[in-house]
Amino acid sequence: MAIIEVKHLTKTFQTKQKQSGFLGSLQSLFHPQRKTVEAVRDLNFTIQKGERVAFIGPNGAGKSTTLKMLTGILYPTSGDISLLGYTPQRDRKKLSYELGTVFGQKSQLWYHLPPMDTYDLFAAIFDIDKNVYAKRLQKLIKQFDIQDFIHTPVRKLSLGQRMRCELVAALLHQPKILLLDEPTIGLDILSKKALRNAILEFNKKEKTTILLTSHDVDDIENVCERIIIINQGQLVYDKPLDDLKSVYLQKKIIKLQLEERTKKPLKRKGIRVVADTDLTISYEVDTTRQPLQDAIKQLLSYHLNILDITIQEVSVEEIIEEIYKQK
Amino acid sequence: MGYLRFIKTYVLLNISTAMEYRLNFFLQSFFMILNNVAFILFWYFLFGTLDSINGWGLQDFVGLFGFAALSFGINAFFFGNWTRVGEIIVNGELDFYLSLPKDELSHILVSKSSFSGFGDMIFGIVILLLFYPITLTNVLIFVLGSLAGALIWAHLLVFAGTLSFWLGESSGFFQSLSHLTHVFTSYPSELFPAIIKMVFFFIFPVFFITNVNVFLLRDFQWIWVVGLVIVTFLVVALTRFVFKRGIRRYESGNLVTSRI
Repeated sequence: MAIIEVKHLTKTFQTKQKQSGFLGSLQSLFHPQRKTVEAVRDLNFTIQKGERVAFIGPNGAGKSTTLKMLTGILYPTSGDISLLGYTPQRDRKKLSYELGTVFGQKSQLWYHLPPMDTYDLFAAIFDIDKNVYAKRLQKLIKQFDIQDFIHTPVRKLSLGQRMRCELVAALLHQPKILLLDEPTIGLDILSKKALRNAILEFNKKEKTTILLTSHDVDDIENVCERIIIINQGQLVYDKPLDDLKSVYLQKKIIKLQLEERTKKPLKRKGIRVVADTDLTISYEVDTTRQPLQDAIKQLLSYHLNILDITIQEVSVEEIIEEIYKQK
Repeated sequence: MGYLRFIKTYVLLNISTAMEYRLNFFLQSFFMILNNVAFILFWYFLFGTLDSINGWGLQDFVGLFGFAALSFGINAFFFGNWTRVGEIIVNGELDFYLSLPKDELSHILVSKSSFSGFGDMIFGIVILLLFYPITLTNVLIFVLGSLAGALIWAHLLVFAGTLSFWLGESSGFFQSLSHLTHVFTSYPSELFPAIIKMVFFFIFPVFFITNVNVFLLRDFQWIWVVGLVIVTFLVVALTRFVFKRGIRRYESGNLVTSRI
């Protein structure tokens, strides 16, 4: 069952253009110039119940704008959105009962007070029955392992602790859809891991649909099963993560450490240089055009003074970088 | 019921925040009282040498000031964000309110509370009770007049803040307008020429915040009661309408924010 449907979604903004300096300001005062920016262009996708989808793209690609249109915060210029059959802009309040949001850079927790106080407030905002709230909160406290600092003012929490508390705040009303906008931003490796595990665990138990944006490839690899990439407001990729990997797994990186540099890099069909520093050369081999065995043979016979050789798969990060560059 | 629990939780939450910073709270309260007492003393000494200004005596001036303090206090305490709507729009803080199920404008208003507003409320009540005889009519005027005044005042400033949906950053304009409401709530309309009276009774009805209440205390006339009810209703309804229209133009923002 499609839980999120986005059809021909477009959002344009009018931005003021101004030359630098005082004269520019004066000119802009009398002759303001505006430019139309297309933040999202004809975007289409659907998401099924319980799916964990990474929604990624470079800065300014239109991710946050799309998420804000999904929640009803922003109005689309054109196109249709349906979440659980609701139109976010028309049914924003009804939808908010079904939607949990965590914006990594916008805290929902009261800064000077313990998370517990914010939870009480959210229970009041969502009209959650007091007994139901108490039970639900206990369960979430265990799931996200936050019992040790639930009574500590938020300003004294580490970023990792705070983000887990943010997630609990977003889940108190048992939303069917969870939108996470860069939830691991600024976290250390251990905190990231703890947060990802908690999200995964929650998704497995509650079948909550998750749409996550992140610039951290580990978030995507560890949490998501499908990847939607947008760039300059347009959809450029929408496939299961495994598909993405299998296509790009046909590419291998051969890294050579040389004793001395005597020759220019090798040029052959299916082999290209991806990094070239003084005594280290990295080649990317497209195994569909040049079998790996042949490529190795050719490289070994071309560079005679090899000290070390390593063969790696292309990382998901490189794959995504490649997709960003292509479009 | 839902809204009562919601407002109660917010008030308690805001008091808890104020208690986290006790010294700030006591200093704020102390200077608020000092400020208000100084103002009353000024009128008291002035009217030691004068009988009245344009027919307005000490009691009327104190009445204006009492209603102003009371309505200001109600807004500061219960509608703490009444002066921050423009800022909230421009900074992209509206995201928070738009993603929750309660009415956005009410939620914005109640989500902050300035505890010193409680002091203003007490101060306003005390000086009204000291300077006016305590009769049923007077008490009704104190209660209903200050509530209507608070609603009009809050919504006039919210209206000005809401223009940020169209104007963008306009805090300078807002500050001037906010200052203007303070002036026109503390002085009698009788001091101003007819054209000013027309504007501030019928176009930007700041004279309905305190002046009409003092008219009622001087000489009770139903026409002013009806006028006050109609103006309160119109100002609240128009502001809410404009705010709802403005949401369509909201552009959000990327400012890193936390809830304080």
